[in-house]
Parts: sequence; C-alpha cells; structure tokens
Amino acid sequence: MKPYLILLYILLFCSALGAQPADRSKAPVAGPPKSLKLPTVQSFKLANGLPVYLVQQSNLPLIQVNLVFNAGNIFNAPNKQGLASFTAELMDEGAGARDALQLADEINFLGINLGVGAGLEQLTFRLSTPVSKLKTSLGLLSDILLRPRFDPKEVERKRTEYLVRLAQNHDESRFISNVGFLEALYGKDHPYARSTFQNEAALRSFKVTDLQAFQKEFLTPANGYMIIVGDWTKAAAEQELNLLFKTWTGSTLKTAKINEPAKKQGLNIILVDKPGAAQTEIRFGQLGVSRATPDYFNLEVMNTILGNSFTSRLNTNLREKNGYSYGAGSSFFEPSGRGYFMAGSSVQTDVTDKAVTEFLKELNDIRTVSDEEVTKAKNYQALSYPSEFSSLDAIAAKINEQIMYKLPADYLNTYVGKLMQVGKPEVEKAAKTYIEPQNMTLFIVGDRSKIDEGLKALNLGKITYLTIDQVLGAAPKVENIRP
Amino acid sequence: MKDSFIKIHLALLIGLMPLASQAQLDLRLNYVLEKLPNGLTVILHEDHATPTVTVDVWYHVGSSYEKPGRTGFAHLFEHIMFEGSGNVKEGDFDNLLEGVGGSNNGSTTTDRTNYYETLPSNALDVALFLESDRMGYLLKDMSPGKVDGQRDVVKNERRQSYENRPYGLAFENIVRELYPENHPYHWDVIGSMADLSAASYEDVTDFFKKYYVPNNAVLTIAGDIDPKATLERVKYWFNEIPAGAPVNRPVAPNFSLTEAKYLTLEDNVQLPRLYLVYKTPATLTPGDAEMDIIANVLASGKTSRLYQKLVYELGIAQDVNAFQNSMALTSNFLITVTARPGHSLPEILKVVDAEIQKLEKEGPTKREIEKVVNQNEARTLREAQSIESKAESLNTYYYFTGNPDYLNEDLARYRAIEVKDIQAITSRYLQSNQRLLLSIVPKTKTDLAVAKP
Repeated sequence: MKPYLILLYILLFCSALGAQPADRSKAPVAGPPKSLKLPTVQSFKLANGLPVYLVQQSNLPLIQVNLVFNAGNIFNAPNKQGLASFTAELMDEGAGARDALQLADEINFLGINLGVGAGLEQLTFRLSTPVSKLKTSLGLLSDILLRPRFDPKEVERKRTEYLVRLAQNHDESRFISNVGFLEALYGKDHPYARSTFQNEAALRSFKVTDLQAFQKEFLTPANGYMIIVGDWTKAAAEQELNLLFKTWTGSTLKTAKINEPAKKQGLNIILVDKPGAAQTEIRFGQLGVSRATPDYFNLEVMNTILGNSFTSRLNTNLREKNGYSYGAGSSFFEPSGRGYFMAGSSVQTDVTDKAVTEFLKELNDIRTVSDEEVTKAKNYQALSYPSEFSSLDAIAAKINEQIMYKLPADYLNTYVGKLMQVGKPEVEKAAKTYIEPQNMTLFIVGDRSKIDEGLKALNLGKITYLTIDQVLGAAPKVENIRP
Repeated sequence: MKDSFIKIHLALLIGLMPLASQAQLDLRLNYVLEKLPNGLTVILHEDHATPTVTVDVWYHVGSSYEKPGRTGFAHLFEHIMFEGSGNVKEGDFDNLLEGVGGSNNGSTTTDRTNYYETLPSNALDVALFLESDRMGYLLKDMSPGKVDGQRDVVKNERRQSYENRPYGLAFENIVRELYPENHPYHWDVIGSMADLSAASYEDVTDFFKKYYVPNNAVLTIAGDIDPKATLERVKYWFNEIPAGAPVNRPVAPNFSLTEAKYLTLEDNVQLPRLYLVYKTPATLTPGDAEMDIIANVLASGKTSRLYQKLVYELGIAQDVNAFQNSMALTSNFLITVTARPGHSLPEILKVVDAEIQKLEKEGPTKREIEKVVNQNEARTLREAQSIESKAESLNTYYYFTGNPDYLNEDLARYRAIEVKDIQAITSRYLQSNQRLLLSIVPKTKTDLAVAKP
C-alpha cells in the first residue's frame, strides 16, 4: 500500500499550498444515477403446498425468514376482536418440549430474533438469525408454529398484561387520537377501525380453545407463504424446510370480506378532552383507496408534496413557517379493502385553532401544484428507491407487499418508470378526487378548557365532544391475578 | 432530532468483512483516515452493496459543553444548522437533498452532535457542498428570525417528546438530582423552556465560532465510494475553511453519592413507576461492559431476573427495564419498574433490592454472560447491513478511543468478563445507600411512592 500513501501525501501537500476556494455559486449537479441491482426472487413450493420465495444474498452470514398467513385481526368475529394478535402473542409462550421460560431463554441465548405478531391483514412469524444458528432457530420456529402449548397459566398472565395496557393507553394522547380517528371514520365495528386490543370484553372472553381453533383454522400451508432473504441456497432451503414441515398440512385459503364503510358528507368535528395535555393532537382525514387503486403512483407524488417529506407543504407550514409544531405530515393507508387518508400533527395548545386553519388551507391548496414541485417529489421518491432495499428485512417487506397485494411480477422493476410518468395534471386530479376537506373527519385530543373557544370561533360546524372513556372504553379494573 | 413525524428510511447494505462466522465473530471495518491541514479528520469506508452513501459529521460538542443559563443550546443549535448557510438559501438544505433522493437528520447528546445525509452515491457532492457550506459559512446568512423560528420548533419538540409523554419529565429530574450543580451532566439535553427563551443571536455566533470549527469535527463517509477520489472531493469542499482555536473537552468535578436520595413527582399517569439511578463508570472504561451485562441479566427478556420475579412470578409489575447509559465523563445506570394496579413502589423496591443482593452474593451464571456475548455478536451482524450504523460506529469509536475500528476490542471486553467480575462491579456500584430513587405517581397518589425512611 505504500505507493498509495505517497500519492496521498503529495495530494495533501498540493492542496494545502494552493487552497482554491470551491465554486459555491450554485449547488453541484448530481451525476447520472447508478442502477440498483434488484433482488432476484426464486420461488418454489414445499411438498405440503406452502409457497416459498427466496432471495439469495450472501454478503453477510445472516438469514431472514418470514412465515406469513392470511390471519390478521380482520378475520376475527366482532365479539372476538384482537384474537389474532392474542393468539400470536401466546404462540411463543411455551412450545414443544419447552415451557415459556425455557423457550425465551433459548431464543435469547442464541441472540436471534424470533417472534410472532398479527396486524390488520396478516399474521407473521419473523426470524432473523446468523447462518451459524440457522438449524437451531428453524427448530424453534417449527415448535412455535406447530406445537404451541397455550398453557392456561400463560394465557391468564398475558391477559392481565394486556388489560393493564388498556388502562395505560388512557395516558397517551397520540394513541387516543389514532384510535378515535379510525372509529369516527369507519364506525366502531368495522374491522379496519378495531385496533388490536381496545376491547376489554373480547380480551376477557378469549379461551384456550379459541386460540387452538384459530391456529388450526388459519395457520395452514394453504393459507400462507414463506419469504427468505439471505445467505441460503434454494436447494438447501428446499431440503431443510421439507424435512422440517413434513407433517404440517392443511388446505383452506382464507379471504376476508370487508364491508364498504359509509362515506360521510360534511366536516365531522370531534373533540376529546384531555385535561392538562401539553399539546393538542390533530387528525384530519377521509376514506381513501385500496392498494389496487390505479391512482397509486399519482397519490404517491401528490402526497409527497402535501405531507410525506420534510419539505412538504404541511411540514413547511406548520413547523418551519409558523413554529406551531415539531412536525406535520400526511399519509395514505392502502390495504386490500377501502383505505384512508390522514394528515396530522401534535401542536402547541394555544395555537390549536390557528393550526386547524393552516391544515385546512393546505388541504384546499393542494389542488394546484407547480411543475417544480412535481419534479422534485418524483425525484425524491425515485432516487431514494435503492435505500428501500437496504437490509434483509426491508427486502422481505418489499416482496411481501408484492405478494400480499397481488402486484404484477415486474412491479419492483417498473416502479421507478411508472412514478416518473406522473405529471402535474395527474397530481392535481388526484388531489381533487381524494382530498376533500369539506367532507373530512377532524379529530382533536387536547385540553378542552384551553382550546374549545378558539375552535368554536372558527365556525367550521358542530363539534361533538367525547371523553377518553367513550373512545377507548373505561380503563379496566385489574384484579391482582396471580399467574 | 430534527424530524419526528416523517418516517426516515434508515439502513442500507453491508461492506463488513466477516473473517470467521462460526466460533468467534471477527469483524473489521476497512477505513482510510486523513487529517486535513485545517484539522478536519476524515474517515472513509468503502461498501458497494447498494449505490448509496452516508455522510456523517460529528462535532465534538454536546449539552455538557453548555454554559449556565443556556441549557438546551447545543440541541437548539443543531436545529439552526438546517436553516441554510452562506450559499444555501433557507429551506434549500432539504430541497436540494430531496431533489437527489437523499434523506438527512441530526442528533445531540451530552457529548457530541451529529449530522448525516444518506443519498445516492452519484450525488455525494451535494452532501459535501451542504456540509462544508454550513461548516464554513453558517453565519453569513444567520438572522435572529431563524433563531426564533427554530426556538419555537424546539419548544414544541420539548412539549411533544417530554411534557406530553407519560413519565416524560423523569430524566431531567434525575440528572438534576444525581449530578452536582457544577457538573456538565446536571441538565438534560433538551434544556429548560426558560433557557430556550433566553438563547440569543449572539449565543449562536459565539457557539459556532468556538465549537463548529474543522479541528473539532470528524467527517465520516461510508458506502459506495472510491476513497481516493472521495478524499479529493472532500479537500475541494473543506480545505478553504479555516481552523479555529483548539477545543477542550469539558472536565467533570469528582463527586460521589454518599447517601440515598429520594424524589417524588406526580404526573398524568395511571400507574406508578420507580426509577433507581446509580453512578457508574464512563463509556469503554473498566466496569462499563460489566454494567451492560448486569442490565441484561436483570431486565432483558422474560428470563431476566427482575422480569421473571416481578412480572412473571409475582405479577406485581407491568414492565421492568435496566440500562447502562454510557457517556464520556461518567455514566449512569437506570432500573425502572412500573407497578401494576394495587401495588406500591416500596413493595417493588423490596424485590429489586433482594435480586441485586443475590447477584452480588452469588453472581450470574456463566450462561447469562455468554448470552450477552451471543446477542452482541448477532446484533453487530444485523447492524453491519446499514452504512449509517457503520458510519456512526466509526465516529463513535474514533471519538472515544482514537481508533475508528475498535469494534472487535469492544466486543472482546464482554468475552473476557467472568462471574466474579460481575460480583465485584455489582458490589462496587449498585449500593443501596448510593443512589437516587425517583417515584413518579398518579396525581394525588403520593402514598404509592418510596419515601425517605
């Protein structure tokens, strides 16, 4: 390496002598972007029918395995809401030859990440393991999938933990506003409005037999798939997994029927009193689109301009221009059924009314955008695309998105091209179609005694007042259940 | 932190060389280190997994450098650094980066302030232009209006992340009670509302001239780069910035806790929470790694001693945490326990103290120590996927040891620890008469607190 060092010395010496100031008259222009090598997905089926999607990537001795099922909380009956999450939670509380403590000890000792969780649509087992621990890890994964104990003692222990958590949710303005907003938008009983554990009655009703029935009905090879990313060949994976899951069978693919929520007319304003709150939580929104929308790319660009970037109009207004908040933004939630649009922020209590006015202004003004804004938003999304493939679990998430929403096989390859086709007319049309401030839900959580007067003076319409208990239910009384 | 609402996509791919993946992980980060004539330290790390690069600038100044009456200033200053500089109009820092597909943020701790951009490697020059412009010419375009704007944002950050968060004011009360008034850790990084209001335009110019000089900064670039060519670009942008006066690191007065201190706060919370705080060895000094292991043995995972006892067996607590908060001058060790309804903090304390005594007397098992070693190594592998993590790692180790690639030495500390070492360190640092006991209780429920006996 000597010649290299000498060269460095010479360069150092020269530059110290003739320090020419850099040309700062204009910002440097980036060179042509390098192409990103997109992951190559190999797919195969196990003997029991489970589809497997594998991306072999060997630069680190690590493997990510996601085992995914159509078994999210939307599949629960209304009186059993949260059952998917509760079942997931109990699967690794003792399985196979190990009780809850032994299993946790083994997972922690290996240093691997192995867990189960359920969201709205899916229930997922996630394993991240060094190659050296793969075999042992897979054994544990198959134990929690196929042989969970659902020990009544552990079920009671978890139930108590979650009941206490329900009570703790009453402390969190942000949680209250997110839950309340969805209830207002979809109606309390709609599956998309049911947050995982907000129903005390359901939580108290879960029996061991419910968990067993859920496992039996939903966690079958026909109702799921596996995504593998990392240092593992297709041949080795196929052999190992077929051996591991030889006895696991089942043949029903589950689909959930999601009712169409009623679209609301007029501005629906709801204020939840949280005495002493140091800030006000504001949520503006309306029903939106599913992931299958033909407007997907138009909405991406439009929302980047409105609230999904630091320089977005909402953040620039609420934070940089007015200093009302630490940050403001907006997002489209696009599931398999009817999704929603939401804009929000936590704002200083004494400017709550002014912040609402600024939100309304930006939600109205987005119907007109400039060519520069469109170009910048497209570049931001397109050029940062490589960073979305930055880790094994990020790649697994991309592949899951593609499978879950049945996106075309060339989706990842054509993403940038489709994004770049969006123009100003499409952005403005998307804004006009999907951003209707006059028909939105405005959900506010804050100190009513300090903000009510200002909000009334805006004359936006009737305000409905709710208590925290009306949104979350009364905080459960938790007996001291000894596990 | 500069942003909160917007999701920042972290983490990119690889570049570490795993030399042996079986018995013992040996990871080396390739790097080039150069010092420019103006004192700027440059660290370059090559990793071509994705066509992306992270630029991570550390200024060796944090809240421990602040002067009395100006708490929170280092962090407020961090915000001001994003508001444009001599050749970058207000707002253009983010406009330019987003235009090339980049993201950015910054953060302030007691000991340092960092700024980073992650962007496509073809646009590296844009980040270098922006970083060099604010290092060289921030004051050319500074105004009292900019300071006021960010003052409001930071006050809202304080409201959002501290005041409106359950138990959110615990930490500033802890450091105020734990550290003597003349200690640089006596106040929290976010600062007080009064001091944020008092910060002036002159404070900004003084702080910049004193601390934001190339000789007090380290520029680390990790990712899809050619080190030789990159070093040339760094020189092009940074050589013209003049060096400043040398910066001294703050000196901490020696102090020790000679008795248990008790403090009770009321908050808008459902459940009482107990904080036990101990004074512990500074980061990477003897005893620091032992404290990490003790934190893990006590409260990491279901089979950790405190969790198993308090939550799993007795069911009197909702959650348990323990953490060695490693810092440059001295560290603190925190144990926090939230009580279940119907249970008081003295009841909790009794169990915690019994477990600490047991650890001191009997020590951990060998398996408990080995577990931490395994977790460290698996975590290191996972973090090696991210060029941002690696840039931070190079900067961190350089700041504290002078060797950017200190990772293996760091991991080796844990492998060398034996059962008796843990006993000795527990005995030395976790004494019940040398700690702070903070009780945060629901409004009017002070009877649930741990009171001075």
